[in-house]
Amino acid sequence: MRIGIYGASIAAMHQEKTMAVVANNIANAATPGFKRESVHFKDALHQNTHTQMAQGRIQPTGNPLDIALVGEGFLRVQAPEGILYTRAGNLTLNSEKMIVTQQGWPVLGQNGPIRVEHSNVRIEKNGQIFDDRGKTEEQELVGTLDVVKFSPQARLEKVRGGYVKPVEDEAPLPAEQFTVEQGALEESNFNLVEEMARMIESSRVFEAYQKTIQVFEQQEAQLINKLGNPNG
Amino acid sequence: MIRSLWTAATGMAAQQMNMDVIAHNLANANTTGYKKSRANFEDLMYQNLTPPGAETSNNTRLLNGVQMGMGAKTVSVQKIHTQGSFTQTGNQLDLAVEGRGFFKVLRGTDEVYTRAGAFKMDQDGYICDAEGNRLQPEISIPKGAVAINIDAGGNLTAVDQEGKALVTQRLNLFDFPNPAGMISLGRNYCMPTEASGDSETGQPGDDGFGTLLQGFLENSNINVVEEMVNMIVGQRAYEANSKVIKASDDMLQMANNVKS
Repeated sequence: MRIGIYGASIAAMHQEKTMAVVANNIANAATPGFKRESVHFKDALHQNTHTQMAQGRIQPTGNPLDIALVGEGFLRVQAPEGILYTRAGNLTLNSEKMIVTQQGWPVLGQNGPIRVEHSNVRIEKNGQIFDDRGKTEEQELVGTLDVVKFSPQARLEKVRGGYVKPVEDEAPLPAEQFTVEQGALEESNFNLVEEMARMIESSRVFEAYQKTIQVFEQQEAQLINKLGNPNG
Repeated sequence: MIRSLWTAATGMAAQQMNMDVIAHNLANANTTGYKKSRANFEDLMYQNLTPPGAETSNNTRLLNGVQMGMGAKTVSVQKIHTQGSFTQTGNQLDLAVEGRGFFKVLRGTDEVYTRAGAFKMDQDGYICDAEGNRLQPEISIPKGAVAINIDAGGNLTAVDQEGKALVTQRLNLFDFPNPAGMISLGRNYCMPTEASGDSETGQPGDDGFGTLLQGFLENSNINVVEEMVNMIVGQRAYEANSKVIKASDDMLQMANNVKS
């Protein structure tokens, strides 16, 4: 057997991976703060997935505890297994009046978890959170969101629930170029047309490899038939 | 291939849940005091085929690795407690809360909370809600009262024909640190949970509490246009996921056809 048939099958399997990545992007159409993945092929044996950190569209929701990060950075979240980072800003309060994510994990401010009196807080563009206690003038600064970024060399790994963490415990740096939009959520950042095109491409390339494998097979069959037939 | 089939299926399931929530919101567009729900999604676990930072054969390090996501799932369905608009009814026992706060009624033995302020009087003269559950703390309107006035601060005065005040009492409102964490019981009622925190009692107009509007009802906070747009987006996302399933199926078929 020639090496080509294996090459074609490995290439077909790569297309399967592309398809899985496209499927995951589209499945997360409604996941706030979701960043799409793309696949890069280095050579026949190596490929990697890359998270595209482009800004997602900002969708106003009017809910005071929904925040969208515009620009760079992540929110720091105290998960049970350690600190995780996310851009999903659909926050809520727990029974201890702490600002938490939908998973119930406290969002960390610059001085640890943020406690408020009421869920109608005011969040400034720089991440400062004021508790306005409904309507009075005495607004109290209860915390500042700790928005952080990672150095460009840092390797980030996605864990479930829209969270990322650095692979090698790199320390985060304070983010500078960002604004916090209150009452809005960042939508997932993929473009449906692009993903559909990628899907069609992947499916067609897969088809081409299938045809290639078929040709190899036919050639082998002819070879065996011709050589194996002394009268041929 | 099987991976992308199941991944797209999780996406379809998530969008289906989204649609269920939108349908419930639209069905309650005219429900007094109804607060809209929103489905929150998160991505599922990632399969690390090659972890980021892994060493490749030629002593270089992969910067990104290969991470395959497994789709999406619903993490919570959250109530959005924004203010609804008001409808004037002219009914003297219709109350709308402008701002934060719930009414408390006794339903059987349970204390339940509602923002639907369509109250009436039961046969004993107590103020009760549409289902006949008494407002807490109980307020009884004596016979002979011809008019009931409730001001923004919740001071209730019932007067007789000569304009003499028969009873004056103050209505209470109840609030929670996180109303979104309350459990909805249907029929406009909700109950506190561990996530919502314990109730705080206050009077209308107190610090942090809303004020009362007599003769008005609070509409649902549904914006029909917004829900319709969400529905369209949800339907299209559902469609996109179904296309992924179709494409994955086609690819599986091609794989099967390699051996003709």
